[in-house]
Amino acid sequence: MNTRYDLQTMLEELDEDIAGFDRTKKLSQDDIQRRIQAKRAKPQPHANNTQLRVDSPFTHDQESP
Amino acid sequence: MSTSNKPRVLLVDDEDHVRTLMKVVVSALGFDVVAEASNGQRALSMFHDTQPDITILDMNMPITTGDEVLQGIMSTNPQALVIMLTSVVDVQSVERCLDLGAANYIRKDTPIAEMKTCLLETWNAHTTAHEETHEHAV
Repeated sequence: MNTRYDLQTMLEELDEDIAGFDRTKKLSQDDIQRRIQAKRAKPQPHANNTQLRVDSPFTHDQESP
Repeated sequence: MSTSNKPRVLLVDDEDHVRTLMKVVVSALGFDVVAEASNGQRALSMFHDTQPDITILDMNMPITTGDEVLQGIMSTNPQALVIMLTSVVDVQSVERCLDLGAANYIRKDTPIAEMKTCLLETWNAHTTAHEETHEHAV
Protein backbone atom coordinates (compact mmCIF):
# COMPACT_ATOMS: atom_id res chain seq x y z
CA MET A 1 0.00 0.00 0.00
CA ASN A 2 2.84 2.32 0.87
CA THR A 3 4.50 1.66 -2.48
CA ARG A 4 1.30 2.51 -4.33
CA TYR A 5 0.84 5.68 -2.29
CA ASP A 6 4.43 6.76 -2.86
CA LEU A 7 4.15 6.20 -6.59
CA GLN A 8 0.96 8.27 -6.71
CA THR A 9 2.61 11.06 -4.71
CA MET A 10 5.64 11.00 -6.94
CA LEU A 11 3.49 11.23 -10.06
CA GLU A 12 1.56 14.17 -8.62
CA GLU A 13 4.79 15.94 -7.70
CA LEU A 14 6.14 15.31 -11.18
CA ASP A 15 2.98 16.79 -12.71
CA GLU A 16 3.37 19.88 -10.51
CA ASP A 17 7.01 20.24 -11.55
CA ILE A 18 6.09 20.01 -15.23
CA ALA A 19 3.26 22.53 -14.80
CA GLY A 20 5.60 24.85 -12.92
CA PHE A 21 8.22 24.55 -15.63
CA ASP A 22 5.66 25.32 -18.34
CA ARG A 23 4.50 28.45 -16.52
CA THR A 24 8.03 29.84 -16.26
CA LYS A 25 9.05 28.87 -19.80
CA LYS A 26 10.24 31.84 -21.85
CA LEU A 27 8.26 32.45 -25.01
CA SER A 28 9.64 33.59 -28.35
CA GLN A 29 7.83 36.35 -30.25
CA ASP A 30 6.44 33.68 -32.60
CA ASP A 31 5.12 31.68 -29.60
CA ILE A 32 3.46 34.82 -28.24
CA GLN A 33 1.83 35.65 -31.58
CA ARG A 34 0.52 32.06 -31.88
CA ARG A 35 -1.05 32.36 -28.42
CA ILE A 36 -2.65 35.69 -29.36
CA GLN A 37 -4.04 34.21 -32.59
CA ALA A 38 -5.41 31.23 -30.67
CA LYS A 39 -7.13 33.52 -28.17
CA ARG A 40 -8.65 35.66 -30.95
CA ALA A 41 -9.88 32.51 -32.73
CA LYS A 42 -11.73 31.26 -29.64
CA PRO A 43 -15.50 31.81 -29.97
CA GLN A 44 -16.82 34.48 -27.63
CA PRO A 45 -19.57 33.52 -25.17
CA HIS A 46 -23.01 34.19 -26.67
CA ALA A 47 -24.22 37.63 -25.68
CA ASN A 48 -27.87 36.50 -25.49
CA ASN A 49 -27.48 33.47 -23.26
CA THR A 50 -30.28 34.67 -21.02
CA GLN A 51 -32.65 34.96 -23.96
CA LEU A 52 -31.74 31.46 -25.17
CA ARG A 53 -32.51 30.07 -21.74
CA VAL A 54 -35.93 31.73 -21.73
CA ASP A 55 -36.72 30.32 -25.18
CA SER A 56 -35.50 26.81 -24.38
CA PRO A 57 -38.04 23.96 -24.62
CA PHE A 58 -37.75 23.36 -20.87
CA THR A 59 -39.49 26.64 -20.09
CA HIS A 60 -42.59 25.52 -22.06
CA ASP A 61 -43.02 22.56 -19.68
CA GLN A 62 -44.22 24.98 -17.04
CA GLU A 63 -47.09 26.07 -19.27
CA SER A 64 -48.33 22.54 -19.98
CA PRO A 65 -50.88 21.07 -17.56
CA MET B 1 -8.98 60.05 -31.85
CA SER B 2 -7.69 63.56 -32.40
CA THR B 3 -8.76 65.75 -35.31
CA SER B 4 -5.37 65.15 -36.98
CA ASN B 5 -6.38 61.47 -37.38
CA LYS B 6 -3.01 60.37 -36.08
CA PRO B 7 -3.33 57.65 -33.45
CA ARG B 8 -2.40 59.18 -30.08
CA VAL B 9 0.09 57.14 -28.09
CA LEU B 10 0.95 56.96 -24.39
CA LEU B 11 4.44 55.49 -23.83
CA VAL B 12 5.07 53.86 -20.47
CA ASP B 13 8.54 52.62 -19.53
CA ASP B 14 10.85 53.39 -16.62
CA GLU B 15 13.88 53.41 -18.93
CA ASP B 16 14.45 56.72 -20.74
CA HIS B 17 16.30 55.16 -23.67
CA VAL B 18 13.44 52.74 -24.35
CA ARG B 19 10.94 55.58 -24.44
CA THR B 20 13.24 57.58 -26.73
CA LEU B 21 13.59 54.61 -29.08
CA MET B 22 9.86 53.88 -29.07
CA LYS B 23 9.10 57.53 -29.76
CA VAL B 24 11.17 57.25 -32.94
CA VAL B 25 9.51 53.94 -33.87
CA VAL B 26 5.91 55.06 -33.39
CA SER B 27 6.55 58.47 -34.98
CA ALA B 28 7.89 56.66 -38.07
CA LEU B 29 4.52 54.85 -38.24
CA GLY B 30 2.69 58.17 -38.28
CA PHE B 31 1.54 57.90 -34.66
CA ASP B 32 1.61 60.84 -32.30
CA VAL B 33 3.17 60.41 -28.85
CA VAL B 34 0.97 62.55 -26.59
CA ALA B 35 2.39 61.50 -23.22
CA GLU B 36 5.16 59.53 -21.56
CA ALA B 37 5.30 57.96 -18.12
CA SER B 38 8.20 56.42 -16.24
CA ASN B 39 6.18 54.54 -13.64
CA GLY B 40 2.88 52.76 -13.38
CA GLN B 41 1.13 55.22 -11.12
CA ARG B 42 1.93 58.14 -13.39
CA ALA B 43 0.84 56.01 -16.36
CA LEU B 44 -2.63 55.54 -14.91
CA SER B 45 -3.07 59.23 -14.24
CA MET B 46 -1.79 60.12 -17.73
CA PHE B 47 -4.12 57.58 -19.30
CA HIS B 48 -7.10 59.25 -17.63
CA ASP B 49 -5.85 62.72 -18.56
CA THR B 50 -4.96 62.10 -22.21
CA GLN B 51 -7.28 59.18 -23.19
CA PRO B 52 -4.77 57.86 -25.76
CA ASP B 53 -5.72 55.61 -28.69
CA ILE B 54 -2.79 53.31 -27.94
CA THR B 55 -0.88 52.64 -24.72
CA ILE B 56 2.49 50.96 -25.04
CA LEU B 57 3.25 49.49 -21.65
CA ASP B 58 6.32 48.04 -19.95
CA MET B 59 5.92 45.30 -17.35
CA ASN B 60 8.69 45.78 -14.77
CA MET B 61 8.27 49.25 -13.32
CA PRO B 62 8.53 50.86 -9.90
CA ILE B 63 5.46 51.63 -7.74
CA THR B 64 2.86 49.99 -9.98
CA THR B 65 3.75 47.14 -12.33
CA GLY B 66 2.65 46.90 -15.95
CA ASP B 67 0.02 44.22 -15.37
CA GLU B 68 -1.50 46.29 -12.55
CA VAL B 69 -1.61 49.33 -14.83
CA LEU B 70 -3.19 47.20 -17.55
CA GLN B 71 -5.83 46.00 -15.11
CA GLY B 72 -6.53 49.59 -14.03
CA ILE B 73 -6.87 50.79 -17.61
CA MET B 74 -9.10 47.93 -18.75
CA SER B 75 -11.38 48.28 -15.72
CA THR B 76 -12.12 51.89 -16.61
CA ASN B 77 -12.05 51.48 -20.40
CA PRO B 78 -12.50 47.89 -21.67
CA GLN B 79 -12.13 49.15 -25.27
CA ALA B 80 -8.65 50.57 -24.60
CA LEU B 81 -5.86 49.39 -26.87
CA VAL B 82 -2.89 48.37 -24.73
CA ILE B 83 0.23 46.77 -26.17
CA MET B 84 2.74 45.27 -23.78
CA LEU B 85 6.41 45.89 -24.64
CA THR B 86 8.62 44.01 -22.22
CA SER B 87 11.46 41.64 -21.51
CA VAL B 88 9.22 39.61 -19.19
CA VAL B 89 8.16 36.77 -21.48
CA ASP B 90 7.26 33.81 -19.26
CA VAL B 91 4.02 31.99 -20.07
CA GLN B 92 2.33 33.14 -16.86
CA SER B 93 2.94 36.85 -17.50
CA VAL B 94 2.00 36.66 -21.17
CA GLU B 95 -1.21 34.74 -20.43
CA ARG B 96 -2.13 37.07 -17.56
CA CYS B 97 -1.77 40.19 -19.71
CA LEU B 98 -3.68 38.67 -22.63
CA ASP B 99 -6.45 37.59 -20.24
CA LEU B 100 -6.56 41.11 -18.79
CA GLY B 101 -7.15 42.45 -22.29
CA ALA B 102 -3.76 43.38 -23.76
CA ALA B 103 -4.13 43.56 -27.54
CA ASN B 104 -0.59 42.43 -28.18
CA TYR B 105 2.58 41.46 -26.36
CA ILE B 106 5.93 42.37 -27.86
CA ARG B 107 9.36 41.28 -26.67
CA LYS B 108 11.77 44.18 -26.27
CA ASP B 109 14.41 42.35 -28.27
CA THR B 110 12.15 42.12 -31.32
CA PRO B 111 13.80 43.67 -34.41
CA ILE B 112 12.49 47.19 -35.09
CA ALA B 113 10.97 46.30 -38.47
CA GLU B 114 9.01 43.41 -36.91
CA MET B 115 8.01 45.64 -34.01
CA LYS B 116 6.62 48.24 -36.42
CA THR B 117 4.64 45.58 -38.31
CA CYS B 118 3.26 44.26 -35.03
CA LEU B 119 2.20 47.74 -33.84
CA LEU B 120 0.60 48.62 -37.17
CA GLU B 121 -1.26 45.31 -37.49
CA THR B 122 -2.57 45.61 -33.93
CA TRP B 123 -3.78 49.15 -34.57
CA ASN B 124 -5.45 48.16 -37.86
CA ALA B 125 -7.13 45.13 -36.28
CA HIS B 126 -8.38 47.28 -33.41
CA THR B 127 -9.82 50.00 -35.64
CA THR B 128 -11.48 47.42 -37.92
CA ALA B 129 -13.05 45.64 -34.93
CA HIS B 130 -14.15 48.99 -33.48
CA GLU B 131 -15.77 50.04 -36.78
CA GLU B 132 -17.60 46.69 -37.05
CA THR B 133 -18.92 47.01 -33.51
CA HIS B 134 -20.06 50.55 -34.27
CA GLU B 135 -21.85 49.40 -37.47
CA HIS B 136 -23.65 46.61 -35.57
CA ALA B 137 -24.73 49.10 -32.93
CA VAL B 138 -26.22 51.40 -35.63
